[in-house]
Amino acid sequence: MARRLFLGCAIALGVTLIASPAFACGGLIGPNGAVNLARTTTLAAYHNGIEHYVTAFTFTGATKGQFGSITPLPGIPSKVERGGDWTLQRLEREVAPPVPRGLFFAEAAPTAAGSAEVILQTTIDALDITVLKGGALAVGTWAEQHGFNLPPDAPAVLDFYARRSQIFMAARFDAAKAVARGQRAGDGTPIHLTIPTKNPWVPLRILALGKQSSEVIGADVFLLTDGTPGMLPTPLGGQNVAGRPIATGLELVRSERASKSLMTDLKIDKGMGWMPSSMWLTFIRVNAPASTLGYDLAIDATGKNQPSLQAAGFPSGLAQAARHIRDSLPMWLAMTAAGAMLGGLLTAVLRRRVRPA
Amino acid sequence: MNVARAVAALLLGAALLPACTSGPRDITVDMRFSHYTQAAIRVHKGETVRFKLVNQDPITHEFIIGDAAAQEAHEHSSNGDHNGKPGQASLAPGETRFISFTFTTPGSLIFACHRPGHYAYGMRGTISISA
Repeated sequence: MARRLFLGCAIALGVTLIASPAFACGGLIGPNGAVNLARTTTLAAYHNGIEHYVTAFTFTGATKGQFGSITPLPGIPSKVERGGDWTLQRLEREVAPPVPRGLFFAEAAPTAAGSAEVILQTTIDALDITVLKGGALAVGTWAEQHGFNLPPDAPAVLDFYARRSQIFMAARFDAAKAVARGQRAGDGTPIHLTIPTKNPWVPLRILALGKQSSEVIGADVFLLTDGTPGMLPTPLGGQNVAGRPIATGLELVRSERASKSLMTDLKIDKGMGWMPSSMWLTFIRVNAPASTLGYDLAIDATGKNQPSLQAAGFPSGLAQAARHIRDSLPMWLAMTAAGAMLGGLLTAVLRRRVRPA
Repeated sequence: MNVARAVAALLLGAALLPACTSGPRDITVDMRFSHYTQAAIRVHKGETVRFKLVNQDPITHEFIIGDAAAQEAHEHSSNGDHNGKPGQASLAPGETRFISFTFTTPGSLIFACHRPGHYAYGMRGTISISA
């Protein structure tokens, strides 16, 4: 019985690891091409064909210098405005007990071309925001010309996104302006983008921009949808669909009908009056080495559970997605999986040999 | 008279032919996704190569030829513009440039980009110079 159990576990582990692991918002760019970003918190809410994308830029206390961020978007936003101060903090509190100090860290975000087309420009607090339309070369060149010091992996990352959507949001954070405004370290500026789109997706790969391959990227991603969303890749703990890759760097922490108190609290925050009376809350925790964040989180909010391969960054199909995830497995995990499979195989062989003729 | 002209033309052509064949060799090096498309180049001692450098990326790149010690020095240097210096070039996003370089000593050299983080990212290649 114990041997049967071991055999079952070994095979299950082997299959799970081979079928799953690895991962995939804005990349932050500082004067030297890299900025330390703590944890990013993002809300992607979707209702009536409109995505409400809320993220926050947190002032880290620098007294001078400018920092930039580039965020790929699924479509042209109809509105970019200062978000409510409460939304992201309230979502964090919903999924984690309050810390004793009573502080909530809305850690933020992310923070041939012809020329990039400037779609929209606005200033929110110490942030200068520009929404751009253009290919990777055009948008990257615009960013370079406007003082964004792009890291060496930027060309590949911008190309990855521009093949899907050629809309980007460039945000420049002016530390001196933040100081002049009286902002203190830890103060966040929430940004709320209203984006008409067929289905939302959450950019994750951009979070690894400029990071060392072993650096662990942390992010809290909240989804609010009318019903249970289909997701690709599937987070650990999510409903597995045959053939769909599982990403071990994404952990499904909550998937439930949003509580009445949460809905009430969110709805009264600035810019959140669009919310219906009931929505489905999904909370995904991202913890993945930068080298494994090779894709995004595609969401199907229609209820058909058919998230788009293209939106996840895998236009070539599920096989490519599975291969990518498998190839980005840490070596020790791969060895464990191989060992488990070998163990299972040996057990099966031994069982066959001891069976009476 | 016509025969004499034809012979003269043939002689002139024959005299110019070696000069044409010993002209600089053209090698195109594309820069894409912060890597060189040609990571290994082979040349002969005394050969002059005209490099066509094509930066396909939206960020500035460099092409600097030198030995390991020179690359190390460039990696820690803050010199931004390399244009006009022998075996060196800086390329703006989308720019194409030509530089010529004569390889006088057999051995091995490195070509690389020393914009912050690019060398560590793998933006380098080797040039083998045979005797």
